[in-house]
Amino acid sequence: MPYTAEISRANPACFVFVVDQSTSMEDQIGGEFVQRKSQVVSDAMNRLLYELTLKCAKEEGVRDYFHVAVIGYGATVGSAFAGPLAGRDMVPLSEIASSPARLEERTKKTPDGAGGLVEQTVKFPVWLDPVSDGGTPMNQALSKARHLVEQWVEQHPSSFPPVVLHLTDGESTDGDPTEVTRGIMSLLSTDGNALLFNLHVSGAGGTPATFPDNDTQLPDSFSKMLFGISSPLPEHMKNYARAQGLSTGEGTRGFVYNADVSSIVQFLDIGTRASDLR
Amino acid sequence: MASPKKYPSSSDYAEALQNTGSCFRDKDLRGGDVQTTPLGMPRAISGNFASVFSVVGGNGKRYAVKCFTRHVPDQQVRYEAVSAGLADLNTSWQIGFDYQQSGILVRGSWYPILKMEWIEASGLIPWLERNLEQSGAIADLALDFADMVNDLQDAGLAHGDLQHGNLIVDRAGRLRLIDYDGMFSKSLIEHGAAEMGHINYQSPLRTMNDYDDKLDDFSAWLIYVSLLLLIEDPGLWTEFHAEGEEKLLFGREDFEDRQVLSALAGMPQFSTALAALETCWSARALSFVPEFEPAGLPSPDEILTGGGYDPLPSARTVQDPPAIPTGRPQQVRPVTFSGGLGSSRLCLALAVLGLLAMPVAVLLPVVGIPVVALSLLAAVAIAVPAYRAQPELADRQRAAYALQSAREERFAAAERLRTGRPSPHRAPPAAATPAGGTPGASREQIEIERVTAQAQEEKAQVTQALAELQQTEAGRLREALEAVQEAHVVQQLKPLVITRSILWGIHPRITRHMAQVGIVTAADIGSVTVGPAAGKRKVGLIVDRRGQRYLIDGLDGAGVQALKAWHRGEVNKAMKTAPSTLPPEDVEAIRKAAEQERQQLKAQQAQLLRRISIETRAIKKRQQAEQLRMRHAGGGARRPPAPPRQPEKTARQIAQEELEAAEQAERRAAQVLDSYSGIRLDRFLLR
Repeated sequence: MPYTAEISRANPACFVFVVDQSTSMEDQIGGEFVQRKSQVVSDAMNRLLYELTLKCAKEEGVRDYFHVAVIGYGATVGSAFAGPLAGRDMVPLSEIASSPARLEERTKKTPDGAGGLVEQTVKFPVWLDPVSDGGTPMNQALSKARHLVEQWVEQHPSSFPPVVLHLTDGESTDGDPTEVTRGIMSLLSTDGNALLFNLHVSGAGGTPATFPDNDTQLPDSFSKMLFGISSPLPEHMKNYARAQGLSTGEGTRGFVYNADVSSIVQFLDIGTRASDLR
Repeated sequence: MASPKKYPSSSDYAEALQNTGSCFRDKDLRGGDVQTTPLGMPRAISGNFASVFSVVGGNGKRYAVKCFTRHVPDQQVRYEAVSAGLADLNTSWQIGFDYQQSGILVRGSWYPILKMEWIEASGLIPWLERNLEQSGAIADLALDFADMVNDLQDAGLAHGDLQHGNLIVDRAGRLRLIDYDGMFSKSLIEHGAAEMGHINYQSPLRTMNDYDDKLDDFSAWLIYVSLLLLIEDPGLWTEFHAEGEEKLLFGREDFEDRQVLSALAGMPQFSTALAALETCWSARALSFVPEFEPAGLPSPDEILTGGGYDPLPSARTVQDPPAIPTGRPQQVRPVTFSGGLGSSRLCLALAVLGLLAMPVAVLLPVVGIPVVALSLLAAVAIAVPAYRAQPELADRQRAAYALQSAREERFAAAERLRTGRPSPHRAPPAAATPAGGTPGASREQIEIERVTAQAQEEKAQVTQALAELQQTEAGRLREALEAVQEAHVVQQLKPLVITRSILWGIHPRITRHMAQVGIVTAADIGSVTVGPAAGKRKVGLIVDRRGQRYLIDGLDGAGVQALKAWHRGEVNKAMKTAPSTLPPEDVEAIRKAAEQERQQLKAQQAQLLRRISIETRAIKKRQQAEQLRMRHAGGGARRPPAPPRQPEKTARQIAQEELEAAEQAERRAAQVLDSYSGIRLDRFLLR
């Protein structure tokens, strides 16, 4: 059965995040608080990277169960890491753990468990900064992702197939990405085809959709196109999505439309869900 | 029932732990210092369902705080039951713990924690890697392990997930057991299993429905046997444990692909231990996995001292005359049932149990009368312990080893005689017999080096072939997909006849030219370019799908552009409907073929390992024989240095002598084994 390869240090897996950093990411997004989309996306990404490093932390340190690349696209296309990892493509998780750009502090009021609120300062690591500048060279960014995935499966032919998670808010300004995304999804490891999941934070409105199994509710051709180039969710991710209270069908795809903040986190959480780590 | 609430993630806990003054209820932990990473963030050790943090409490004591990332039904009841079960035991391997239902406050809600004493300890794998050459320490650990499993058995408990990650070795070198989440206790039967254990340590038959006091048998055998093997031969670690692998010597895959097992099968000293593992692995039902009973195997101390059974048949030749033609005649001791021959107990109970369990398992569905099975099992249960207590059994097994080893030696000797192989390498002139050196020793040393070097080279070749096979497999999958896609494109392009297509700028005369060379439809075109300039005129060049190149008279620059654009457009159109994945049966076929090749390579590798072992042993044996002969020849006097012998003749002579000696040894070994033929379980039962 595909998507069941063991993920271990001897047989690691990879994630490629492709993050829209075009000017329109400056726009705001609803949810608990109104925030800039770019801020929400970079927060969610930082959180996810931190979560991954903790999940793979063992006695001797963080194990390289995963290698991660983050490609940003806007005014330029390339590695979106800030700080010591700037310019790097595929980075082993242990290095990510030890090299955030900085630790940020935030003060927040949290419930004290006895009905009151208490102000607390918490630190968290930051690898990505919010960026919103330039056009939407989606084709170029996805081509880069394809190149990384291609290299990965050459070097790790029996690994869990690479997962590409694409977060965007708008239409490509450098042409139809269908062909390059088909290219990504046709790359193979012995455990199955590479996976491409898309998250569309559109300004077009319409009903939000989380992991739908058809595109009839989607408002425009672009979101339908993104649905069309999203891989079906493998079984273990579907199970995990169901455990999170989401309904899934036979044809459920890794696609989220107009998600709120928590759904963005959920998209990343489900899309990076591996079978049990060994 | 209310749906279980979503538990915090590891990073949620790491955030809460930045304020220990408010997140803990426990007075020891409240305000404690959390151990941090070099970056100053809380340091976690994570499993699949929990993260553990280290906190130094106000009392100065260090605790491990386990925070759960997943809801476990009846967690509190489970921990209470385990706590009660362990409290009576009071053993050295336990870790004290305290389950707190409302232990930690995360974002306004309370979640459970497990507060444990912090043990300064090392995980089993890093500990083994540091202590591989300390056979004594490994032997102590194996004894600790066997005692621990016996403690659990006696208390009617099972850990449920015995594996390297849950076995740690403390500063005093004592084994400690951690992670009691999935333990079995009789009082918990109605709650059922909470986990399945580490895949590399569990029988493939284990499911979530299995929850009884036998949960640990398979993993206990596996771990114990691995430790015994490592006492005996630390080299097995580098041989069979790749860096980063989540197992000791054997994991699920190793049982499935047999590589390790067949490599070890060439080493008779491991046969009892391996028989135990085979019995566990091939059990038809979990209940047939024999109860962990270390008395059935040679004890760690016996292996350490080389007693119990002779671990290295080749080592025995020093005292054992058979390999030396001039030796005293071997005494064949008549065997009696009552004759105790020392305390060593090497018993075959496991192999016997395994053999018996199988017919029973087969009988059951056929006869359908459980009584048959039950009475059989009962008889076995009574008879086998008595049977296996006979020391003669161990001797018989030893005799069997001796015979096997003698037989191997004879094969090796015959092979040497046949090929004359050692001669060119064994005695390269001068270098092999340095002045003052032991000629035998240096010659053998060189040969061992040669065998080792040659083996390394062959092994590297096989390993590389295996690695390449993996690449090839991926490549084949890709090529197969490309072929399927291309076939699809060709299919789509076939109906597009070039004459009929609306193609501006292509004159019928040109299409006639094209038809003459077989280019009729879009499917016949591979690519279109401008050909090498012939005079001043540009002439179109068409490459067909087979790679044949045709200059097309009359096809000018504009025509080339038009044809090219049209063709590329049609190809792209067709690609859009091309399959993006291979049909599963094709994938299966490719995998199967690769798997076959892989098996062949692995068999080759196993054979190689076996051959190296046999050859090295044979060389060592010759070396010892040589030295003994030297000693016999005159109080340690060396062979006269003078006349350099004809190397060719010497090698043949030696090989011939060795073959004769080996044949003699084999006959004697067979005779010894024969004298034990009276001992069999059936006769024992009738006695």
